[in-house]
Amino acid sequence: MVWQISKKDFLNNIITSRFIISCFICLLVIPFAIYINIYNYENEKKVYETEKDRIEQELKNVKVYSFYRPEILREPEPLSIFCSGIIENIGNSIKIKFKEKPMFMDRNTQERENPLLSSFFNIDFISIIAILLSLIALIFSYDAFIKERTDCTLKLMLINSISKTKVYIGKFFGITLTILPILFICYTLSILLIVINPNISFGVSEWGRILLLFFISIFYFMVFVALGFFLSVVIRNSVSSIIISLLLWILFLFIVPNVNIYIAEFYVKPEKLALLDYEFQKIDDDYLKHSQTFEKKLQVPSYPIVSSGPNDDGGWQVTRTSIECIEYYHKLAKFQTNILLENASKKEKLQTQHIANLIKQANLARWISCISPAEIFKHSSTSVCFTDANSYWNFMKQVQEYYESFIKSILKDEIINSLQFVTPITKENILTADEIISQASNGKYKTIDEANIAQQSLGIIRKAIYTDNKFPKLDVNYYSNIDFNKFPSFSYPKYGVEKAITNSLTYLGILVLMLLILLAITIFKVRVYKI
Amino acid sequence: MLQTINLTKRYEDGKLALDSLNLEIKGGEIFFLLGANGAGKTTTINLLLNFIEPTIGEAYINGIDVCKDPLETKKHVSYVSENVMLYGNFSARQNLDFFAKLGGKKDLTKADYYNMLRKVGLQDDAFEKKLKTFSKGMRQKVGLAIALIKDATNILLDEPTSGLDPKAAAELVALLKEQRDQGKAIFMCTHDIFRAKELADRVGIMKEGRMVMMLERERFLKEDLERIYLDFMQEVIN
Ligand SMILES: Nc1ncnc2c1ncn2[C@@H]1O[C@H](COP(=O)(O)OP(=O)(O)O)[C@@H](O)[C@H]1O
Ligand SMILES: [Mg+2]
Repeated sequence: MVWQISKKDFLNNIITSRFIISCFICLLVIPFAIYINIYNYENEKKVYETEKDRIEQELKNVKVYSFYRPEILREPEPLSIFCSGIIENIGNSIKIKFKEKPMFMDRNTQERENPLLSSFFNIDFISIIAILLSLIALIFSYDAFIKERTDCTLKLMLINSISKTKVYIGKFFGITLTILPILFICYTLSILLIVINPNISFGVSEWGRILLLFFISIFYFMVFVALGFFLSVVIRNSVSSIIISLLLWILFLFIVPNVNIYIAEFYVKPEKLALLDYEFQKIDDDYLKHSQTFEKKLQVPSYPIVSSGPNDDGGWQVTRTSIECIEYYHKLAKFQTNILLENASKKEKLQTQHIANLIKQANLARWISCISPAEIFKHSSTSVCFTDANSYWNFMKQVQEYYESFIKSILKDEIINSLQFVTPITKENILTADEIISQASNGKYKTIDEANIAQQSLGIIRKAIYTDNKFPKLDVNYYSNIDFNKFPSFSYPKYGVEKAITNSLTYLGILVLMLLILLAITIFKVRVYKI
Repeated sequence: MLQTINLTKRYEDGKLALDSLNLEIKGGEIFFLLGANGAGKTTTINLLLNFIEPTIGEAYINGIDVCKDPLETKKHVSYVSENVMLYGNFSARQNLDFFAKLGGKKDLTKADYYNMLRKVGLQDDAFEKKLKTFSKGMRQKVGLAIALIKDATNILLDEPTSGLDPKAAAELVALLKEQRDQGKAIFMCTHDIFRAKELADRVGIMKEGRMVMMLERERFLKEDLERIYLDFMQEVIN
């Protein structure tokens, strides 16, 4: 009998204009949103590929250990097509540096050309489902009981051996069944657009997670059906019911998601980034001072420096020079590296504080927003699509772990204490200053000191290296890149459906709990419903 | 068989809508409850069908207390409601089909539905038309068909003639007679005195929630029912 009522409501609803208009709007909006997000994803993939090439090219030029700064790229997430989450706010690559533990992605390659458009384009599949399906659910359910009562059909049903609770359950599933095809159309349409796109290929994980999204969406709109039913049971006339439904809809869909941020910003106030930058700057200045005093203490070799390149992160590449010079810079580089790493741990304390506050703020905003089923739905969807803050932090945690292991490998004796740390010139090709000057002057000067006294060393060596090309083995181009196998490589695990399920379980739990509470209090009200 | 004992209903707002009604309608009897608007007729039906709880008193259907075992009593009643909007998007046949299945008639065919619709006097070309295109009288016929197809032992009708044309009203009389002859108890609320004179075995006149007069057929045929009814109405004015 419950089934009879469900069937009746289903058949009765699908021929209404409400249903046809709902389908029509979905057919209109969904392809548009999916199309834009597919376009974004393809772009992201292109950017990813070119970035990967760029990094590969750059690595070929790393010929000393102290120059190696691995760069980590975040692979574009295929399901960002459905739910872009916070992806749009974060960058996609990060360079590991000695001087700072990685905390955020560096650059944002997906930034749109026109920043004014960004909020307009932020609409993705899940936001549309969140907005449309909740509205459709309310529109189908706000007068579900009221209409049956005023039309006397409720009495005609109750004249049979069926309880009000059963009528309610039957009607609830009837309306759920009505909305299901609309949801189904939305998903099929987007899947179709993805399948016909030759540039996108989804794996098991993606299809599995889309299925999971579908199930979450079902629970989501059921919460709104239950809400509409609740209103239709406690409110006696349909005009009040639709007004209150729409007010709640606006509250859940548009007010809560904004207010939660204000509240969170009011109660948790992380330090301003500019202040953090200022503190970092002070530490960096300190580093320069330290390194200058250390440099003064070192005995400067008598051989003039011909070619060397320090970078801003304690990297030195010393070529076309003598062993004395190389050793001088090796000492400097080792000192600088240690100072930088020390500073990195000083900064880490500040960073941890800052990040903790950011996370606290984000968490507060998130939990406040959980009073809205729409927000819970969005949180669970982003966690299924791996585009949520937690997935991002997990990624960053892996990056940080990688940073630690990378630093450890740098500090190994065979790396930091080898001359390869600062020079590409291999042991057998390294010459002393005296050897260089005597070869360069064809034996005229036996030692560098002799040449220096005659004030000839610089000219002779310059000529020998640049004009006559006498020392090709002292040149950086003679050597190929360092052996990267000496360092750990970064690999981010690819997660599957199980991870998505565990990620979204809490939210799904809250959603189901909301549904059950609404069902329970509605049933409680239905049992004493005045016909 | 329908029975009420001291049945009383006072609404939440304090309105005493029904005052100690004692009534018994046996199978094979047609009972007419006459009364002006607001007399308490619908309240009586609602109490008999357990749509509302009585303040005091009991109601029985086929000897079963409607408050103690409402679902069981529902098996034995058919009902024609005052308002017969039904489902506008469904055809007459679909409406009939839905309520017949709820009433436990699972294996009726299209032909059965058509026969029933024909029996209550609906034209053939309206069977598959959506109900929202129907006039009130046509909807009332469908409502009647819904009540009759359940084939319950008690039939309660709440002002079923209000939208019917004279021909349809005459057909209704014939149908109800047929039901009575099958041994069913018929309880009909109306202010249609002519139908009462034609059909009723017994007539009750209700005023402000109280049953003020109960007349057997011989009596109201002898004395003028209209006269009696209007006399009671008159008292209100005096
Ligand atoms: N739900 C209700 N709450 C309060 N008063 C009611 C309610 N339903 C009916 N009444 C009042 O009870 C009286 C009897 O109503 P009703 O049984 O519908 O009369 P009838 O069907 O004879 O026209 C009327 O005065 C009406 O206003
Ligand atoms: Mg009435």
